[in-house]
Amino acid sequence: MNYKDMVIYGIAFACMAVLFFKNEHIRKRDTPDAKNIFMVLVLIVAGIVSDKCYMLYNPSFDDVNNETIFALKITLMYTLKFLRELIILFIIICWNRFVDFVVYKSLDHVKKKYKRAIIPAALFACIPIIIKYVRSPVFRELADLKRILAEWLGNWCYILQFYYVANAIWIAWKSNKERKAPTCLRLDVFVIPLVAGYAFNYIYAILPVDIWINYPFLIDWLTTFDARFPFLVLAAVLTWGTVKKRYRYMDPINGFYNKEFLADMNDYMEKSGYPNGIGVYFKVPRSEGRLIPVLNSIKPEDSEIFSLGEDEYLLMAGPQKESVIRLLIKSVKLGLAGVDDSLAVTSDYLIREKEESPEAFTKRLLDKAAAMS
Amino acid sequence: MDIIELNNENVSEYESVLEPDISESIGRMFYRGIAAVGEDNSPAGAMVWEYKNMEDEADTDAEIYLINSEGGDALASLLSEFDSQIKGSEVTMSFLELEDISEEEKKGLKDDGFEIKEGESRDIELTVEDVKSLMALKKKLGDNVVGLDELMELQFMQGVTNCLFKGKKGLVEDLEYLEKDWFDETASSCVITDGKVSGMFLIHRFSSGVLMPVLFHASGPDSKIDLLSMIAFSARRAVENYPSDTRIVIRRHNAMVKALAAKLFAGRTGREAISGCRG
Repeated sequence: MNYKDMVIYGIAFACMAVLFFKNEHIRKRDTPDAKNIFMVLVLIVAGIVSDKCYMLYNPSFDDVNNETIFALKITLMYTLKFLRELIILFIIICWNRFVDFVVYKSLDHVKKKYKRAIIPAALFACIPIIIKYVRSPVFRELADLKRILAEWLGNWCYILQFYYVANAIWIAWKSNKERKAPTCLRLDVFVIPLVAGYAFNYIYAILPVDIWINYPFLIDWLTTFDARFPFLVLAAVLTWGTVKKRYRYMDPINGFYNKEFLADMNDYMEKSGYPNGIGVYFKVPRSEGRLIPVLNSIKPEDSEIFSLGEDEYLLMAGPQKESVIRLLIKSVKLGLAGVDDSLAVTSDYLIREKEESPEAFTKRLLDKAAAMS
Repeated sequence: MDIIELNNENVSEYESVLEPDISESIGRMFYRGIAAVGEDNSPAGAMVWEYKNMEDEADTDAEIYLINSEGGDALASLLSEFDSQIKGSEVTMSFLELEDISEEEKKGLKDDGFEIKEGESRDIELTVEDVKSLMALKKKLGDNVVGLDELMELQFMQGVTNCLFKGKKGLVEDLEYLEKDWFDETASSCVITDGKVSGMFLIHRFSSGVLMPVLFHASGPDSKIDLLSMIAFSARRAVENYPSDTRIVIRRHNAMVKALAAKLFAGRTGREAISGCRG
C-alpha cells in the first residue's frame, strides 16, 4: 500500500472512529437508524480489509511454475475480489432497504423488490466472461470452472451494485416528487458520495493522453485505488448528520414526528401535502408505549402519527367525515383491548375548519393536547 | 292514500310491493323506503331511495332504486312524500336507473320534473361460469391475498378505515357502518402488506343469491398487481363455492370500472333501462 492510500484510509478510519465514539446512539445501536449506520461501518471495515487482501495478492506464474497451482491462486484472487464486491453490495442494499422503508414504509415491498434484480444481474454477469473467453487465448488456457465461477460471482455483485445505486436514486427522486422532505430530514445524502466513489474509479479513463504520459504514477494510482470505501465513509458520516437533525423533530425510538415538528413545520407541511385536515388524539396513561404497535397497525396510509410525549399521540390525516374518525377510534380501542384490556384509551378529535389556516389549526391542536394533559 | 315509513320491523309486511334485493337494504344508514297503503291497509306501492354524500362536504344526492305503484293515486302520494323528504334533507339532485318501470310511472316521474331517457344499463350481468377465465389473471397467487373469511374483525376495520381515508367507498355509502358479515366472506378478498390490509375487493351477496362487487381498491407500491390478484382470488373462490349459473352484477359506476369491465368482459353490454335525473 502506498502512502496516498495510507493517508486516505487513515482519514476514513479516523472518521469512523469519531462517528462511533462520539455518538451514543451508534454505540448502543438503540434506534433503527443507528443500527443501520453501525452495520454500514462494520461492513466498510470488512470491505477495506478484503480490498487490501485482493490488491496485495498478486500471484505470479514464475513463483509457482505449475499451471494447476497458478490456476488455483488466480481463483483465490477472484474469490477475494468477489468478497469485496459482495461486501460493497451488502452496504448498498443495507442503505437501500433503509431508505426504501423510510419512503414506502413497507418491508414486504422492500423484500419483494430486492429479489427481482437477482436473476437478470446473474445473466448479465456472464457477458464479461463470454467476451473474455472469445477474445483471450490466455484466458481459455487457464480457464477452469472454479475460476470462472469466482469471476462470475464478482461480476454479478458488481452489476447488482449498479442496479441498487440506480434504485436508490430513483427512490430519492420519486420521494421528492411525491412529498419533498425538509432539508434537515432528507436521507438521500448517501447517494451523492456513493455515485462519486464509482465515478472516481473510472476517472482515469477520461483524462487526456498527456496526463497519462507525464504523470504515470498518478495513472498507476488511479487505476489501482478503489475510491468506493472512502466515499462510503463520507456517505455514512453525512447520513448520520441528517439523522441527528431528524432527531430534533422525531422520536428516535418509535420514529414518530414530535411536537416541535408540528410547531415549526406548518409552512412546509402545507406545501408538501402533509395531511392537515383532522387531528385525532389518543392518550393511554402508563401504557409504556403499548399503544404504538396498535396505532402502527391501524394507521391509514397518508396519515401521520405524532408523539406528544407521555403516551400521548396525535394522528393527523386529510379531511374526513366524523363517522370515519369514529371508526378509526373504535378500531384503536379494539386493538388496544387485544393487547391489554386493562388499559383505557382517552380519545378526541378536531376537524380543521374551511377557512382555518394551517398555523391556526396546529395551534388549536397543540392547545387541545395541553388541555388533555 | 297513506304513506308508511319503512323500517326493519315493518318491511316484511310490504314484501308484495318490494323486491327482496332492495328491501334487505331498508334499515341501512342512508336508505329510505316508503310504502303507500290503500284504505284497506293493503300495500299499493313503494319507493326506495338512498342518499349519497349525506355526511360529506359534496352536495347530497338521492338515487331511487325502486318505484312501484298500483295506480295513479299511489304514485302521486309516493312522489309527493319523496319530494317532501328530500327537500328536508337538502338534496341537490335526484336520479334513477330502473329496468322495470311502467309507462304510468314513467309519466309520473316526468310530471314530477325528471328528465327521462332510455338507454343501456350501467349494470352488466354475468354468471360464475363467465368469470372462470379471470382465475388465470394471476396464475400464482401470493400468500398475502386472503379471503375475507380469513380476516379478523380488527383487520377488517383497519382495511375499511384505510379505504375510507383514501376517499374510497365504492358503491357503499355507509361503508363505515357496515359489519363484516354484510359482505360475502367467501368471495370477497383482501391483500395484506406488512401485516395491514392494503387492498379490498368486497362483494355483497343479495338475498336472491346475486353477487355484486361493491368495493375494489388497493393502495401501496404494488397496488396494480394486488388488484389483479384479488380478482383472480375472488374468481377462484366463486367458482369453487357457487353454482356456475350464479348471477354476478357488475355496476359500471365510474370510468375506472367501465374501462376494466370493457377489458375483462369485452362485448358484454347492459340491458335496456330507463334513466332519469332531476336537479
